[in-house]
Amino acid sequence: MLMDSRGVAFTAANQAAVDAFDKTVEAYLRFGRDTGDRLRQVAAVDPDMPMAHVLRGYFFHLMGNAALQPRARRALETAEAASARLLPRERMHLAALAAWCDGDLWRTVGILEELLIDHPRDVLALKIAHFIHFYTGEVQHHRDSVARVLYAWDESVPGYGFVLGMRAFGLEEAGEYPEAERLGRIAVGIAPADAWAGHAVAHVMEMQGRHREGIAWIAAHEADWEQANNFAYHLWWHQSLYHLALEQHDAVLDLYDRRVRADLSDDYLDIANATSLLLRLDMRGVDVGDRWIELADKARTRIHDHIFPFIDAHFMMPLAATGDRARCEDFMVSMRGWADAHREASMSPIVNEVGLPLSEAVYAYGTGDYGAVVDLLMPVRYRIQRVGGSHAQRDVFQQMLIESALRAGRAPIARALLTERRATKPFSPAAWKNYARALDSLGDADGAAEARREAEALLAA
Amino acid sequence: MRTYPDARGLPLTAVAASAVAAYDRAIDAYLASAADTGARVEAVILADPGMPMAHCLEGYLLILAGLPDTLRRAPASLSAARRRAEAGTARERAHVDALAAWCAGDIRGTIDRLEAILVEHPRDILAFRIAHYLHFFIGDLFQMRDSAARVIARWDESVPGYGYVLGCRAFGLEETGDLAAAERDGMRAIKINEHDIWAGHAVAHVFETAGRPLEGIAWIDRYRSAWEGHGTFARHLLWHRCLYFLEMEKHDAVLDQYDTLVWTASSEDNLDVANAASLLMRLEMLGVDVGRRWEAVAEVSAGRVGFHNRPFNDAHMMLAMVHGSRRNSAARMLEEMRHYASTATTTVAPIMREIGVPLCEAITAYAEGAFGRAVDLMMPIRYRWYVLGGSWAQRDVFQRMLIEAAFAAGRLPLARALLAERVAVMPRSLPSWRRYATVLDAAGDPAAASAARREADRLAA
Repeated sequence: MLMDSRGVAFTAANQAAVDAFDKTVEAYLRFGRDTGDRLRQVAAVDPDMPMAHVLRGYFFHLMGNAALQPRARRALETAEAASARLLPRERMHLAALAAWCDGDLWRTVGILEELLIDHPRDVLALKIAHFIHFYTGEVQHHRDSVARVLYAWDESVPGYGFVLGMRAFGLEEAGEYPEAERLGRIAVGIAPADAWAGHAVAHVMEMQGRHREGIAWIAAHEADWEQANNFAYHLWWHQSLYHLALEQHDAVLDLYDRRVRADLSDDYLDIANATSLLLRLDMRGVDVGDRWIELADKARTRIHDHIFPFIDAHFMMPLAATGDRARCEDFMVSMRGWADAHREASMSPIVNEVGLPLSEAVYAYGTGDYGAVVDLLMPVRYRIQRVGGSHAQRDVFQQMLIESALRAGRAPIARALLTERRATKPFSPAAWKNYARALDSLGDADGAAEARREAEALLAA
Repeated sequence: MRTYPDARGLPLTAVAASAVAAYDRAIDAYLASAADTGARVEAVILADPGMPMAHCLEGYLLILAGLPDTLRRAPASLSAARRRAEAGTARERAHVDALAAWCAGDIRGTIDRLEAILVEHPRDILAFRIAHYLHFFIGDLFQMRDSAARVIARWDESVPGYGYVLGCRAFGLEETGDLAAAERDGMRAIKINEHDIWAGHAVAHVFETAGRPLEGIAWIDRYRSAWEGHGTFARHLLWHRCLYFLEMEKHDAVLDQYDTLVWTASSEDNLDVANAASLLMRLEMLGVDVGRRWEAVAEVSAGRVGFHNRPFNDAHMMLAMVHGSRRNSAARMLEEMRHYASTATTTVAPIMREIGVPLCEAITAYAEGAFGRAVDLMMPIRYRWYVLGGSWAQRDVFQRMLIEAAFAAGRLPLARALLAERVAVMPRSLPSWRRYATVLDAAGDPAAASAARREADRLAA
């Protein structure tokens, strides 16, 4: 029986194919730019290796672009053609991919988790499950998924560091910061190129308000992470967030132009990084110039995608910011239509309950209808997690709610939200400054002055 | 009618200041879970039958008790409150609306109204405490945490009842995993008022979650006499005390406390039933013979068949009936639950359908020895059953049941994975390591089994 470097069995023409597959998975785990080339090398050795086709199908889904979905299905069909001689585990991968093609993410993740019970070293299953837990907001499952398999891993198993990195990120999103940081640092020690583990540590620093440390952390690993694919842009995005918290707006704009948005791609994560950053700058009154325009151009081509409601809300940002009301309306209609036409899809109820009001609120913010933003977001704010993404990413929506409450003159709500925020983010100068704005409009000049002093003290520290 | 300020300066419509003083005493009794709360509410109504908030408070407390008889009486309190609030303040009318929503089973609507009151009146301690309870009741953990954070900045030690708000914040922090902050707030609250049993309870949870059973026992013993007059809830603290003994494998002590402290006489109170059923189930799963203790709990539970809108409590009653020779009643209860799930239009109906019914089916399957079926019913819902409400410590009985079912069904890889996850979440849990060792032995991994056993022995020492 042919096995990969972790002892997991594969159906293939020969060991060379399995080795090439192994290298592809390794490249995927480190966000290698060579991932596609490596997958093609598998095909060169064994054009019929079933798992190579499954992996290609997964990749098309991971790219988060509706235009690639037919190709995911074709990869599935190719894999199915070889299914007579599949191992049971490979059959489960096939079923997981099939469920994903049908939009049934609960089933996809259910199959993968079941597979992992018997094959805890199937690192591909683990990573795909990790991704889906993340984009469905299943924070606790995201954490536990890795905990369940870790017993089968140690430093002697290739890829151990990547598993630790996933564990670190799961712990971070579940709020267990010290342990997340400890494991993330170990993982980066094992493989400095492990951008995912490095990213988990960056998240810890973001959530704990350790902005200066965060800047240093990213800077120290820049050379390694520059080798990664576009995921590197997401790390520069995190770096921008630290600068933003420190009100170093020029540094943010500079990073934006030079790094975050260096290649003006239409990748969903790249666009989410960019739009989220511009909106955050805009809310602070920073002039972002004409940067929205190229993003709006790209978003216009994606208003019928509906991969994840999290992504849709980010595509809405440039359309709303550039005042393209017609396209915003089309986008909303398309989103509703998608949810109606895909009632069996896992995302459909999430789109209906959260995705629609969220995107509508982004639209309303862009058109200056701040009262509408408040009314749309207040009832769903605790369910926004269901659209997936990280706490740090979704925070743009909380910020939008607060800024809208302030601008709409809904001072009591703004004060309540900011009271809450200074409890969760006591280290945030912006939270204190906004708190001061709310107190000012309520006539509490002393409270406002005190809050402003707190903000200045944090910035001076 | 005119208004008089309550202890926190909020205007209350009443006939005289003395009526408001009586109302304040009733609120204090409620906040401390005092045994004489009902009598104090009656005293307010006697003192001033025209006081809107007196009737509203009575209505809230009747629903809180959650018994068939009290729930039947709540609408009368609502209409009395509504009639009297016509001449009352806007805040009082908002309370009446909240009570009306609650009477109709619209828990989310109730919460929205209460939180809206709190935006304008952060010192409305009744609105705060009921909202706190309801967040807890439907598993909205982060709302529970943030609700306290939003109001507490508008309080300080000079405001009567400040400690109660601290205690609620402590519990919200504990349930969202911020144990250090929870312990700090809970202990401060107890310093302010040692009768604040809810704050004491939050600290007890910290000791449970952090795996500090000896400190937990000492904590409860220190305040036992102060909490004695606090009715049912005092028994819940003694239930927590039993959990610590369970973690230390002192099973005889638990059985003894069950008889002398937890289930001293038959009670139909929801919390008493839940305490008892949960403890007996935990003991049985540890292989302890509980004798005929199930039967008294089963008898009370059987008397409740036909009345189901609290799936958390239903699941505990189901445990009692299937283990206490009331299988027919259990089957009827399941039918009633299914009926409620498919016909009711309340907030709880979908929770009953998606979680309550499958969980109770799993409980039944487990009791019948159909362990594989119990596993299959529980696996898909385990990450969502927090919507049943209750605490992590309470719902843990279901996690334990799932692990035991997997083991008993011979699904060793699953049992192993679940225990790997469990010891990662609670690394100081002695019985968990012990069980892990047993499962690892059965799974044919003696090396890992002895490592787990060593960890258990280390904890035992």
